[in-house]
Amino acid sequence: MSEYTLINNVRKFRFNCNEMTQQELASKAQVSRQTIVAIEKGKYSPSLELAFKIAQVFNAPLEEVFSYVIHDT
Amino acid sequence: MSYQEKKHITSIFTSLLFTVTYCMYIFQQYQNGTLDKIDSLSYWAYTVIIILSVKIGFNILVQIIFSIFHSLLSKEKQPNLVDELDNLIELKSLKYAFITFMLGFLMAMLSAANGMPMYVMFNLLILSFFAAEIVGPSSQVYYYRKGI
Repeated sequence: MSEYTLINNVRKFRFNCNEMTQQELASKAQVSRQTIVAIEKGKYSPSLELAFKIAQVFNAPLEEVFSYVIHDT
Repeated sequence: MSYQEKKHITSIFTSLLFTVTYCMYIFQQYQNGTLDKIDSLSYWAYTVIIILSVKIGFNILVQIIFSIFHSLLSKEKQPNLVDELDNLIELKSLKYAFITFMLGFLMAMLSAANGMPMYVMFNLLILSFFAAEIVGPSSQVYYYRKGI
């Protein structure tokens, strides 16, 4: 049986953007810092719109920031 | 702990305080035998309206006091942004609060259908409202902590 997981590289991208803070990213993506924390920890899968917004902040393609991985269980 | 979590925990404690106070009052009335004597529908309808109004007013007051204390003590601004995560969590918690109230409502109707006294039905309705007021914020705290 296959299981799908949403993997994100938000932390890595923040680090590459001169250690952008979670609050800065949250302001740019027009969400609360708590939402960014939840996304980074993998506790929340963002909507497609928010995922695009975050990717735009990093000026990177969506699939580099978020990826959908299949695990075989 | 985030602002939302603190806000909802305050709300849970307010509801618990209200529920305990109400239960103590009703138990006292029950022991005195006052409840059996009241058989007027308008009395209970009036009581429900008063209790719900006071509860809502008290909730608003507590939230205002909480906001003031929170900004004074933590020097942190109250977040004025409600994003998709907040909306999703609110929707889920509303669902659980609604289910809780519906279960209470069903129990109240069953008590009436079984010929129990009127005060049982109305107290079940009031208590299910209080329970829903506890379940809603509790599930919000749970989702903020655990994630969706």
